[in-house]
Amino acid sequence: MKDFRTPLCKARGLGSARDGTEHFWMQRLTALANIPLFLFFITIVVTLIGKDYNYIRAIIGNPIIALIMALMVLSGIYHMKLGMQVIIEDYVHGKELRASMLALNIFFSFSMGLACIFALLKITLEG
Amino acid sequence: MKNSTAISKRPLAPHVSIYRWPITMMGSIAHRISGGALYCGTLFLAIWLVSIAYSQEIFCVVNAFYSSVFGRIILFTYTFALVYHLVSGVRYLFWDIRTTLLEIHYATKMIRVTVFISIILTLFIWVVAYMLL
Repeated sequence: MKDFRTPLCKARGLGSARDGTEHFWMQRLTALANIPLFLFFITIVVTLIGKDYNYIRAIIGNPIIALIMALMVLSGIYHMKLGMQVIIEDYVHGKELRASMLALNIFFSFSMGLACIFALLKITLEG
Repeated sequence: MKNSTAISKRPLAPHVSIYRWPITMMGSIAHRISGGALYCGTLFLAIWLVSIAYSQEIFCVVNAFYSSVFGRIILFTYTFALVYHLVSGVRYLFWDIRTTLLEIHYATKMIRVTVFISIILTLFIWVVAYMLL
């Protein structure tokens, strides 16, 4: 069989990172989960427009709604982290810059996810 | 390693800039841009949820900003990015399952349909929202 690897590639000795398939698969899996979760989210937000604070808090604090929104946050943020990782890997070429942006991507995703989940927990547990 | 000219003899793909932009390429780029917009938009979701969790006063400040003209423009763009990314994402799932749909005339048609559906759906969401207001 013909070898398509370049001499430079062989000299560097770096192969596959071995998690490409999982990345691809999780991107599709979370995409599938996001469809019903975000349609639900849009519906909820539309019904909350113009309502007062206590009403909104009561709706978001409903355990079922809070649970579905937490699932949406988890699946959405994971999907978002994977997507931004691909964008950074495609367009950022400097070694240090790329590494720092990949790290920032993880920090941002975790912060946003945790802020949303924490807020949902506080709303639903305080009633 | 057979010879040192291995690299120079490889076929080189023409650079992006010499192509006329086909609609499939714009669909792909729009998917990434809308994804990037949603990435930043997560901040708005987090701020909204945290403000509800924190107190009525903070929520009122956030709500006043989201209800302003500037806030509505941002939220409308956010809605369109979300709906486009969702509909376009479903298209990609179809392409994953049935690769025959990637044939150029199907692919082109599917991009047009997804853009059309997402515009209609975004307007529908905002019309309903204004009717409930």
